[in-house]
Amino acid sequence: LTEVAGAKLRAGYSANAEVIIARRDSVLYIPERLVTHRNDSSFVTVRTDAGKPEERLIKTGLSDAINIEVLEGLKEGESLVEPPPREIT
Amino acid sequence: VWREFVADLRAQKLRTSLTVLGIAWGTVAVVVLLAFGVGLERQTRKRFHGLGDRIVILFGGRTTKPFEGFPDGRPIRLLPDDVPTIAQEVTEIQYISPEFITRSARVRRGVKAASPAITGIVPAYGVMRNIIAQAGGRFINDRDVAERRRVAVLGDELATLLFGHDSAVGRQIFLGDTPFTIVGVMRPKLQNSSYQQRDKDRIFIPATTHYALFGNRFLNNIVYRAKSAELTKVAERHVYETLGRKDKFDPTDKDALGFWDTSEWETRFGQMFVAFNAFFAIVGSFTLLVGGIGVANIMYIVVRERTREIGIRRAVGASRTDILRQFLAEALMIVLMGATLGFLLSVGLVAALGGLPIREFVGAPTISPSVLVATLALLAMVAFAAGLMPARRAAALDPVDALRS
Repeated sequence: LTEVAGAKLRAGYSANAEVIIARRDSVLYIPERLVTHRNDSSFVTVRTDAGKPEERLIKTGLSDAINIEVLEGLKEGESLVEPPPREIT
Repeated sequence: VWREFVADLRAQKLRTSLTVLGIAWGTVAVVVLLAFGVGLERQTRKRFHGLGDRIVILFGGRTTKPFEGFPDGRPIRLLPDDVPTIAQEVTEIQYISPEFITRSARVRRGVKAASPAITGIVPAYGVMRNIIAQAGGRFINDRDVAERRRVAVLGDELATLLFGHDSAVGRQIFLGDTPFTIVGVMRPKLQNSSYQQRDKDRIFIPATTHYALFGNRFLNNIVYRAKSAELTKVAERHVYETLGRKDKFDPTDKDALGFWDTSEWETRFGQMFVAFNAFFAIVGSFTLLVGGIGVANIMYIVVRERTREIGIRRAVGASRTDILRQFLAEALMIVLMGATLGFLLSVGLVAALGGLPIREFVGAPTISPSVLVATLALLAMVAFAAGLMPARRAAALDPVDALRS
């Protein structure tokens, strides 16, 4: 618990606490919005050296819903392709 | 022919240019009206797709036929388990999602709060209902559902209400007393019909989280899309059979379930627009027809003025076909000039109309390929009809009579 100087908790107050269940430091992670899920597998679209987009299977680890840890399938420095949002026609 | 035409134009500047203008005006009428029709149709389709693209929204109902010893008037309600059952039995279905809705919790961020329809769904829902995340965010994904994560996608107006112009993605809000992380905000979209609430004011969370948190026993509804438009009706029959077997109602009892087939509406509106555009085309072509009558008039006069010339040409060996071709070509030339002028005017006019602040409802007028083809066909018909009759008169002249006049 962090000490908050001067603040007092009185009856009827409410407080929010964050409980850290798991944490990772210095791991490879990407924005989770770039991950496609299909039948329990995760995929990302990688821009290859030739400039062509290529779909790749990855293994994911911990996620906070915004960023997701990548365990296998990607190397640091590779660039991912984010498709533009779909248009309604 | 060209030189003759130019000479004619010089000789009768006012007469010829007025005729050209008549055709130009007719062309503008046809093109602009059709472009307007196409724009309106596209926009309406888009507004329809704001609710969903070719989807069926399935609600529970009440039986109206006694069945296997059960009386009529029994309510049939949809359960979470019905979704996997339907997905498995009705093979015509491509996507399916349950939809839980509750309004029992407030959505809060600081002092700002709202009571939207809190909607529990699976990822396929976003595809079907065209809920597309703005750049930098995402819709609910499979992992959210599998892990019952407390994540939410906000409708764009709800996001503005809670966050103003700040980015909401990654921030926390409270649903009742439970914190949720915002993973996406919906792109603003046009939506002309809805159930419960417009998507812009709603909040979407994983179906599993919704069930765990609010414990709704029944689904508000199920949303699905058949593999193709043709299979929609077959799928509907199979849904009746599947749920009829499970809930013990007569599969021919139409009121036991409620179906909202959005593609049916769209088809009906499509038919309405065919009639609409045909009407526009007819109105436009009347204007063009008036222009065509002008051309025919002018050509009759030209033929009369040049009767002697025709007589001489025939006398020195020109055939009837030669004369016919000469006058037909001249008429076509007038129409061609008018049409070119008309098209240029229309392009300008359409661009100007597109800038008006009426786009949201009537859309931007569009000169689509079909508009071009329809106009060209009409123009060709008018030009041919207007040119052929005077040209035939000219060709039919007796050379002797023509010379004598």
